[in-house]
Amino acid sequence: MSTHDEVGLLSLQSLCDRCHRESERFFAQKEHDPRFCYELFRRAFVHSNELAWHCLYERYHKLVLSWVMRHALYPGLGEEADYFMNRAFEKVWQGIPAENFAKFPDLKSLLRYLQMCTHAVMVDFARWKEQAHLWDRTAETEDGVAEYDPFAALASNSLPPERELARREMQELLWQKLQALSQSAKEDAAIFGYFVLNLKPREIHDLYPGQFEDVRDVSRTKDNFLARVRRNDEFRQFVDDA
Amino acid sequence: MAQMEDSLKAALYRITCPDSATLGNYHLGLLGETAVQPIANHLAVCPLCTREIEQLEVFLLETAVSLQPSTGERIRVWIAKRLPSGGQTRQGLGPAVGTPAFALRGSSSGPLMYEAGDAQLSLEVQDDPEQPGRKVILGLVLGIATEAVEAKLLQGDGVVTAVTLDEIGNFTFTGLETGTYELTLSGADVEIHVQDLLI
Ligand SMILES: [Zn+2]
Repeated sequence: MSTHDEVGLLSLQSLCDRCHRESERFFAQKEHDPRFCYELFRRAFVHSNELAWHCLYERYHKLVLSWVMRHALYPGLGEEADYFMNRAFEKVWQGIPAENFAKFPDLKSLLRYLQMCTHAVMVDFARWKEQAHLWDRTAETEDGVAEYDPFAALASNSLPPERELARREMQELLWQKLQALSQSAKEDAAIFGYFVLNLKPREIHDLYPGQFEDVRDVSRTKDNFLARVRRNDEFRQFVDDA
Repeated sequence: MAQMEDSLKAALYRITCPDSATLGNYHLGLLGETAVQPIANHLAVCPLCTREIEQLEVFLLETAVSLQPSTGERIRVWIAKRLPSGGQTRQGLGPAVGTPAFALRGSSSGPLMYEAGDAQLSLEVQDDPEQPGRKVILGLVLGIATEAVEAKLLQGDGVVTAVTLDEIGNFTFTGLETGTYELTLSGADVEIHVQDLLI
């Protein structure tokens, strides 16, 4: 019987204990044997073994915490490192179905995946923060002088969670309707840059070299497009129904 | 018009962007064939997602250092296999019956004999003379360097007791409650496991 098979036969307690000892060596930058922690990952994902997951969390949470604090986005996010560390583990648990475990041939590839998930939860948070800022801005303008704004309901962040999916679908439909009303590649570029990427006219101008005459042409293109959207009966009907 | 623009931005921000884990899976080459092309197409037009991938690349590079160094199989792991009662071991311990070291311990049923890789292991379970109702395990390991080898008795989630082998490979556990245990012997480059040890 090969040594690898023997590792597969170890009890969870022994595996956890040895993974811990090898991790200690790994943190001390000594030579370490990665098979035990890998086998724990395998049992966690392939056999959905809760104790294996718990052991892995114990072994790696400090490492993940150190990654969070080294991430370039961390200082600007305004949230505790623990929060991201826990979200990263959740993402890993959700992200590797048993049938996909074969895509991870060694411990290094699994830790790399854990790193990727750490990055992903921080980026998600940064995106959410940016969007919340846009929501806040919408709320501020709504407090002022009321003007015609058929999209206010779709831009609100005060919906209950059960309506979140429906709103997302409506937002996607809204985007499809807007794209359908675009009459040129230039308008495509302007509305994508403005509304999807939230870029400034100068940035949109630079993103599409040769598309716009100058920076003012970007704003003009967007204004003409919106004026046409507001006059479009079918679009107004869609928004009223929404 | 400005209010409507703000609402549109809030409603449509990143609406066509793949979520960050999908971007990550794309970067790590974990996406299925059909999922790859739409992401590549999106990256060609989205500077925000492109920037997030670049950030991921830098992050992976910065943290990759801490994954080193590792060796393939630093430790030999052996699961001990029980030999038939009174059977022959390959070498070292000889026939269980008449082995002087164990005979001296006065076991009536004879020791449990195991083979684990290059090692031979003998375990003798006796009543603890000092603690009525409790048990003693007298162990002996041959065939491996016994220097700094730790013998550990595990049960459930925890370590019950641990001792270090003496220079010729003997170890003793005392005061044990009856039950099922796992015994591990850990040296610098070898680890032996005796599973489902019933005493
Ligand atoms: Zn994007």
